[in-house]
Amino acid sequence: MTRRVPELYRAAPDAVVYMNAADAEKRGIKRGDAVKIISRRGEIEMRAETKGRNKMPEGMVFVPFFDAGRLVNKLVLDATDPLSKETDFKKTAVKVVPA
Amino acid sequence: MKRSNVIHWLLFVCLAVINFQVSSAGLTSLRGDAAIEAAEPAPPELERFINDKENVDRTFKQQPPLIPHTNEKYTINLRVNKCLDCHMKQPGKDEAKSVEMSESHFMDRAGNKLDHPSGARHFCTQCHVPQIDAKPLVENTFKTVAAN
Ligand code: HEC
Ligand code: HEC
Repeated sequence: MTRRVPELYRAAPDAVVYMNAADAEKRGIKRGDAVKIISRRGEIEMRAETKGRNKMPEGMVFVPFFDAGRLVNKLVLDATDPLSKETDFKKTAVKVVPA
Repeated sequence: MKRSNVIHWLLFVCLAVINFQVSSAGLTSLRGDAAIEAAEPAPPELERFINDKENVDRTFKQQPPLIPHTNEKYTINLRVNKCLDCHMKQPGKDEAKSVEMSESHFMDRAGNKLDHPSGARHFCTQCHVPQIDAKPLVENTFKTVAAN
């Protein structure tokens, strides 16, 4: 969310990686553990969240970009569509390992 | 070189210098001191949500009230909604202690009354969110309804 509106900050204070509980278990990760998210372009470290408002499907993780302390842009492709100039920031292949 | 050209160049150099000073003045963002290229600082632990008997004050009219209790264990999916166990009318319960949802949750989108909670309100956490106990990171001068 945002870190500037008090109610929203208190609802979602820090960026975490949302993942399916089964995916986490397979990797020996428990809710709240520090994990590394690694793509071919970079890596970041954050806490794993297996609960929350939405249940992630297996095989997919979600990282928000509101938290300047966790720069998810380090993981994604720095390219734009040649015609529309739309950025390609929205999905990328990653692996998640315990930190 | 014409005189106006010289002035232009001088102006350009001045601006460039000012620009450089601003960008190197060491502004800190919410990221703190960690350089962009540096590894991220160790992530803070997951926070716990407050679990109070008191409701959280509302800040503006029509605000969906914030949830003053934890909600991790209350499943909401297509079939079940654990929130309704407590937030429906509880027959025989002390009226003053009731935490029944307001009328708006029992209306369809045309405003017609329903005898059951509206499907549009099924996913409570779309609008209602729990809170951690923390001071704002950035000053906020928004005045609440009560203060106005
Ligand atoms: C075990 C009973 C129980 C369950 C389950 C429950 N609540 Fe509550 N809720 C309460 C009580 C009691 C209060 C009044 C404040 C207090 O005592 O914590 C309350 C307060 C609230 C408020 C604040 C109302 C106001 O006027 O400020 C909201 C919003 C709320 N709950 C939403 C939810 C949502 C959403 C869920 C499901 C995720 C949920 N509650 C599940 C008992 C419950
Ligand atoms: C579309 C957004 C939305 C959804 C979904 C929603 N609410 Fe609300 N809720 C509101 C708003 C806005 C208010 C305050 C204005 C009002 O009472 O209509 C409110 C008020 C409340 C209150 C306080 C009632 C009072 O008397 O002051 C409770 C309790 C509550 N909601 C519980 C729930 C529960 C439980 C669910 C899930 C079944 C839910 N809400 C789903 C928007 C929503």
